[in-house]
Amino acid sequence: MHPEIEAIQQRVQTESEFCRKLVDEIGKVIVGQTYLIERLLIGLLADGHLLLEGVPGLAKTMSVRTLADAVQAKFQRLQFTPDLLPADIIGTVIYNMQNGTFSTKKGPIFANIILADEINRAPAKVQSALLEAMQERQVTISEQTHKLPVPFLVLATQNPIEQEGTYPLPEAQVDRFMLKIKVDYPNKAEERRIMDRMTVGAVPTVQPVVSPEDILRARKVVTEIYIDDKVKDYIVDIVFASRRPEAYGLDVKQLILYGASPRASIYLNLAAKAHAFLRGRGFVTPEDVKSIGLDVLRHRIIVSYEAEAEEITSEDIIKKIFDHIEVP
Amino acid sequence: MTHVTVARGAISVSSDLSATSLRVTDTLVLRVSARWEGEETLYRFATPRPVENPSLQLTGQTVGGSQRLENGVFISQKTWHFAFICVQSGTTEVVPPVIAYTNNETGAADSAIISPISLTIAPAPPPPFDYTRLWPYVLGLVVVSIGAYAGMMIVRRRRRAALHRKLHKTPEEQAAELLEALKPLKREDKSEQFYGDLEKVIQGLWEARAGRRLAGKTPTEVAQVLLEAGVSEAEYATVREVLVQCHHARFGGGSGGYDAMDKSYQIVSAWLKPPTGS
Repeated sequence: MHPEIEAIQQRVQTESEFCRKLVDEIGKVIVGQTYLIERLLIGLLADGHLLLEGVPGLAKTMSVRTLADAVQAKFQRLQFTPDLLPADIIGTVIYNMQNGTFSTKKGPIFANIILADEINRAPAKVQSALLEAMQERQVTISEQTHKLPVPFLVLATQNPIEQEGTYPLPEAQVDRFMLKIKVDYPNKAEERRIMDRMTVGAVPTVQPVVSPEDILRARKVVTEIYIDDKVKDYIVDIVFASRRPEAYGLDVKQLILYGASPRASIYLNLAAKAHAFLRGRGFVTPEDVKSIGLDVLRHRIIVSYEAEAEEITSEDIIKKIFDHIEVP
Repeated sequence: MTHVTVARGAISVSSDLSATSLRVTDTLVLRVSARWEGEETLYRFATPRPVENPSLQLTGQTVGGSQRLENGVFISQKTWHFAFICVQSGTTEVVPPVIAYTNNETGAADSAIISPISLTIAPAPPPPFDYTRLWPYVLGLVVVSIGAYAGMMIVRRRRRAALHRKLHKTPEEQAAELLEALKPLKREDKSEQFYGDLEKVIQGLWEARAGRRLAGKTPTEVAQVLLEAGVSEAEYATVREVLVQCHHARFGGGSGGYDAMDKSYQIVSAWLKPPTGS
């Protein structure tokens, strides 16, 4: 192995040690959902916000809360409702009658881990305020800019059913989420364990096992992880195939309205690195890209009317692209 | 014709040849005719003997005759036909036989001589070509042709079989050849190229065994395909392990050196050996 990659590999193995502890701690509360937990960690390590989609009762909120509890970080839950205002999230300026001055009241967004529950239930201006904060990592209250704490991670959830009275996120804003994770039902054995664990009275709790500094150090190592040119080309090919499928011999052009943005390439790279980090590797393989690809791309490919009419989803198209573009 | 007048009548003898220009082996007929008008009958004529001629060979003779009485005169006629075969070429003279008779005037034997007839015998025509003589050659040619064709077919079949073997080697043969070609890479520690080629060997071998396409897939996907194809757990786990090592070497900037390469090499080589045991 190349000495530099070997050095990265050693750092990864050292710095990724906390991930095992974190998973074990979360596992005290959450049964199964290993896929979801791994994606949460990827978001945490790659500094990318996550959008969780799933029917109610799949432990989305509990998973996020447990993660926040296991990380020694400030956690805030924001329940999005139609009457929510931007100031309810980012904060506002309050007039102090006693001394006749204005003081800044920071909103709940000033936390390390934000759970934006049912983000599609709030109107566009609230969504926009949150998403701007996610992008800029700072908010402006009364002409004064305030940096958001580091690490800053937004985990938003949305419910795919009950669409009445919701405000679907515009594509441009969805694009700001690094991953869109579809949370599925637990399997039979997991369901049984959930039932056993949650019906004994005392709900298990977790202890903080990771500090924000651990996460920041890990993030730095993640960015240093080696990614070969062949793998980079593979990522670019995947993204380009979503824009110009005909150039790759794919017959899905009529199904795609818009292909993936350059953010897709960036996030595929970063998420693949975080995926490799979780496996204690100092380099990325195509398997990392493929493992994370669906979550990075599913909300970035906008399907056409024809695809909707034929009930073809963006996931179907992504699977076709991954099946067609051979790994290097 | 020779005409002889005697006291008791007149004798006329004549002769002719069926042809005067012949070839050797042709048939020649000499006709000799004697006519008598008088008080006697032709029974007085003895059968003549043809004059021998080295150019001609007598093959047969016939005789015929008639007699009638007209106005108190006997008219008798006798004709001899002599058949010959021309046996020698050249110009010769056919001397008709002497017609012998008894002269009643003198009471003695007499003869009437006929003039010789000139005959030209050309050499025999060249014998017609005997095609039967060609049979051995024809037969030989047929046998040689069949032999050549059979030989050509055998050579062609062998060449085709050799080509077929070359083009349609068994997956194990192909893998064995490719593995052999990897040895120098192993020795020279060209690990990235070695593992890239080794991955192709593994994919080719297991594609053929599982009947599924494996190229362009990740190690996990390959293992999944093999599992679905009914490959044993131990085998697909080993395939995955080696492929993962290939990927780590290719995308992680090298491998654990010669020993690591040799270990992977030996695992793949072992797949090519026929299973042992009962």
